[in-house]
Amino acid sequence: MDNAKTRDNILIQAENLSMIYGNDHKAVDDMSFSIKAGEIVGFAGPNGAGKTTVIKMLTGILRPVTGRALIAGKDIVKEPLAAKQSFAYVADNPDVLLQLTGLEYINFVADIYKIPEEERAPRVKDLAARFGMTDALETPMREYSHGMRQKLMVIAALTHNPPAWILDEPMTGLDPSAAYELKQMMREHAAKGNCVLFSTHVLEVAEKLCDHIIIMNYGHSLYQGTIEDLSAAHPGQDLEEIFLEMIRYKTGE
Amino acid sequence: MNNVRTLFNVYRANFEMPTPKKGLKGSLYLSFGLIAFFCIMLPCCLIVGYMTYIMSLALMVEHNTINALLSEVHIISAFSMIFSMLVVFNVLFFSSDREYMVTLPLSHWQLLSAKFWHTYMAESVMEFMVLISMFIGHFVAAAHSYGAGNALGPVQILSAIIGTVVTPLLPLAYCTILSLVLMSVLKKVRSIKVFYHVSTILLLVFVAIFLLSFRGMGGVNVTNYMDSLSSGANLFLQICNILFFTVPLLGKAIGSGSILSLLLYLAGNAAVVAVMLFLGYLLYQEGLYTAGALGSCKKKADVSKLNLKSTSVFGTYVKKELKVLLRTRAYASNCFYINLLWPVGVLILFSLSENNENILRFLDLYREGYSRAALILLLIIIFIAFVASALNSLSSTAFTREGAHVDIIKYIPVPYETQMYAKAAVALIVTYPALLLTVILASFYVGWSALWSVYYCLLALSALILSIVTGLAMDSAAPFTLWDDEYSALRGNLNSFFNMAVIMVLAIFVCGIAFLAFELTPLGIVPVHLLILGLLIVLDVIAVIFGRKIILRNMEELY
Repeated sequence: MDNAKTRDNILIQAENLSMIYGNDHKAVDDMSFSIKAGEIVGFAGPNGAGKTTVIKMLTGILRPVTGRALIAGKDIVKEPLAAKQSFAYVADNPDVLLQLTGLEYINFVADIYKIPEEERAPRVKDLAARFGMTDALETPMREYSHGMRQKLMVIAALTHNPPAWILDEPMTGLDPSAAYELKQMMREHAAKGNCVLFSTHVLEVAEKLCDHIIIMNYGHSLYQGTIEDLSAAHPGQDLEEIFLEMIRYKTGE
Repeated sequence: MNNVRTLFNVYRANFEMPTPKKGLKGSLYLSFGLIAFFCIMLPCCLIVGYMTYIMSLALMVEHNTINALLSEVHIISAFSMIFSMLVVFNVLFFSSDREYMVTLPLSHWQLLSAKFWHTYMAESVMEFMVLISMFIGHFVAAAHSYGAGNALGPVQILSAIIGTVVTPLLPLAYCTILSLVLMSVLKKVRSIKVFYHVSTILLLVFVAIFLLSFRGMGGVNVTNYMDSLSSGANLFLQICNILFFTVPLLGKAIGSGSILSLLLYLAGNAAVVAVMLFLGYLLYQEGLYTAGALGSCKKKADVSKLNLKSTSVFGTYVKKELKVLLRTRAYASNCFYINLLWPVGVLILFSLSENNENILRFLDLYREGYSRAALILLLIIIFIAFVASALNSLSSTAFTREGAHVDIIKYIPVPYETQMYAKAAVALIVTYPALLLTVILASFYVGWSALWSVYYCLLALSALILSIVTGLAMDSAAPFTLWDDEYSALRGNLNSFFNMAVIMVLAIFVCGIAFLAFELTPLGIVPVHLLILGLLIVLDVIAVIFGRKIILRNMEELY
């Protein structure tokens, strides 16, 4: 997918993104960031901060009121098909098309992304084995647990192996081994010159995995940069304390 | 495989409601399926086919070959459009898979096409069967009038086959076009409530036009209707000939075997679908963005004014059910407001037929104490009381409506029995007032005494209880909780359909007992009334005792 990369190796770019729900509820206000090839970026913030709204604008679910989102240099509003070919998206809710079996669902996604049969077979086998889902592939998804559905969403999304991964709360519901596998795969994917953007509430995950972190609240970006820089700017505090201070969480004292 | 076909196949696979295949439940579902086929689908088709035959035969005597068939196809198309409007709007813009599908590398018109074709297939099965029946009815009448050689030419038969498949396309395409335009025109008004209201207003406007178009016939009776059809002066026919402009071409192809008309019919439908797809290409993406950005006005809560009053467990469960019903658009229209159909229907029937000789004569006979008139009225009330509860699907979707969160029934610390009674109470609270109002209005027009009014209120209640227990028992056995949107919970739910079939059988059984008791025994009409009420009360007691056990066992075995 080298042809999908831009001149500056930026794979995901948000330029002054804003979003208003209804008539006046501003969920995201002038959000900008960029993610280069080889980076893993964590998106942190309290509930209702606007993380999912930003992800929805990046993936073409919502059209920004202002600004633009680019995936591999393609504007998601102006060139939606080209942009969508360049990312894999895992939504926070895995309850989709539950009447299909796991395999039928993966085949559906593979058909949409036009993955040749000779490529999809080894990839699906590998991904299913890594997530311990091989035995469940021919079972209808309605019989899966939440975690199994989440794993299947990840397998289907990663089957087409695009340069950018956009994952909304991907660790929710995963067992420790599956969470470990996913983190490993995120590292491997980034190491191959691709990028990963994921939202999370678990700061330890962000701390261990991310090259950069974006902290947001009330639709605004509060911090963008490396964890090291953040820690250096707040000596003597751990990441959780810094995060709570940034979002002005009242501890009750 | 192209993307539209891939998507279509996925929607088709995902739409089917899983039903028990083995054991007692499997056998029961198979039986319900057979009952549904033989008690709803087949009788409907036979009635429609016979009506077409009779009407066509009558008009063919006056050398009008096709207007009877045309008027029936128009009625089907109009109903299809009325009932599909909100479904299509919801499927296109508010289905739960929207946020997932739009992230895939599919063009928006491919998504629109797949959704449109899937809705067409899913919504049109019954329509196909009814259309086939109409065409058969027409052909039998034509063969009778003009001879089989003239009526059953290859072009006529081919036209009927094509017409069966193609006719449901036009109303659905119109619904899609209206939905796209509606979403596009209103994109500046970013409040979800406005969208709901506008779509409902559009629906009411269409229904009003549909009803108003009957005014051209003068008095509403069969003779006037047939005369206006024969002369071509029927306003409904005239309006629909313009609105569903391809249907007259089909009529010509079937009536006279004109290949040119058949080709024009196909071209006309193809043109409308092409316009729909073109509009979809222009407007659908914009509509999806608009749908994603909708919200209701956010009000800041004032903690001091929050209503935090406690309610009993039963009361709060009932309140929760009622709030979900009223605040979910699909449920509000299909389960709640649909109950108004009966009182409004009675009002319209008696208002429109103030000068109708047949109805006035019937009422006179009833008031003079003519027993057969009283029997007919009894049968009508029994039938309405049974069908009202089945039609609103309240009991037959009581568990289905919980959706993916059906587990709540299991994990909340409320006895299953309380939950079951709360669900039954909701069905009763919503349905019975409408039936009461229907009886009161009917008593006003018919002139029942207070005692007879009370009798009919009790009769309606007894039938309703039986219907509610049946619906709850069926839905608790295998609730369909994996729906994509609330409309699927109602449309894709076989429990509702099967429940309707079972209720029809019950209604026919009770009506049959009443009829036979009156015709074959020396009982007078008053004892027959009492016998029927007694029978229903006994059936209620049996149903409540056994139904209660079945429902509780089903709830325990749920998942």
